[in-house]
Amino acid sequence: MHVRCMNLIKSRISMPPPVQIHGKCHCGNIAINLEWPAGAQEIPARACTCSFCVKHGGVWTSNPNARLAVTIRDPALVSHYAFGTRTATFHICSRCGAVPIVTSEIANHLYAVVNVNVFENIDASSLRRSSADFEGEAVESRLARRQRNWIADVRIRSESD
Amino acid sequence: MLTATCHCGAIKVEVPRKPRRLTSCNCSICRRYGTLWAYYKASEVRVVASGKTQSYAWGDKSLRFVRCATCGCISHWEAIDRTAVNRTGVNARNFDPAAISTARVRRFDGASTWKFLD
Repeated sequence: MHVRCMNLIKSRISMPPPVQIHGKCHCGNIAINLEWPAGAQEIPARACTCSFCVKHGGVWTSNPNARLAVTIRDPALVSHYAFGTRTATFHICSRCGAVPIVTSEIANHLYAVVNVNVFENIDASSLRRSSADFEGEAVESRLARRQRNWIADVRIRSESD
Repeated sequence: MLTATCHCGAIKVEVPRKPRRLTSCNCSICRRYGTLWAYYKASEVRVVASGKTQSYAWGDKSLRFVRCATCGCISHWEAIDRTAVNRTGVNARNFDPAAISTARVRRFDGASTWKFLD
């Protein structure tokens, strides 16, 4: 076997497994399991400066290679809010009021970011905090950025399904 | 007077003065809400709601966290027994950011020791 192939296989074998990040709103109605890709050690945590996120203290993360599974106990107790370009939907637990995820449907595909404030098993030191200002960004650029950076493997199911 | 307004504008909270100190708490509810608390006497705070509000209480249920039912912004917490506690926490995230830019933010360890971390 070629040396480079051997090295590639070795690096794959030694690569740590994906990190399973668990989180939920306070009452547990909206639970998330975020499979963070192996090798991506730091978790970006972007404090968005938009009018909604400032008021909600929203701090978001995503990785295009992550996988997100959202489990909703009672879908009737989830409300949705959109504003501005109305291209992003905030999922708010209407029992406790936490906002664990934001989704954006682009060309019939669902993308998401997750609020790091709902994480339960991640040490704060592994979060790479920054602020993010997308004010004035054109809609097309905004959607293209989400397609590049947001989580592209998103499954949302309710426990009654 | 200073007014805190939720994102959709349905809930307004009026307070008599700018806060000099804000509290960032890491307890299970405050960290999820991402709130910054400014404390006032309950009798000094006026809540004006033109839309529906919702509230959430947990644990010993001595407080309830009030929010706008439309945009979900947490407006304030209030004592459930108002005769016992004349104190309200107003979510300073809903103030004009310029109004709180000089306020000192203290980090409160509500998750564990119940003391300030700084």
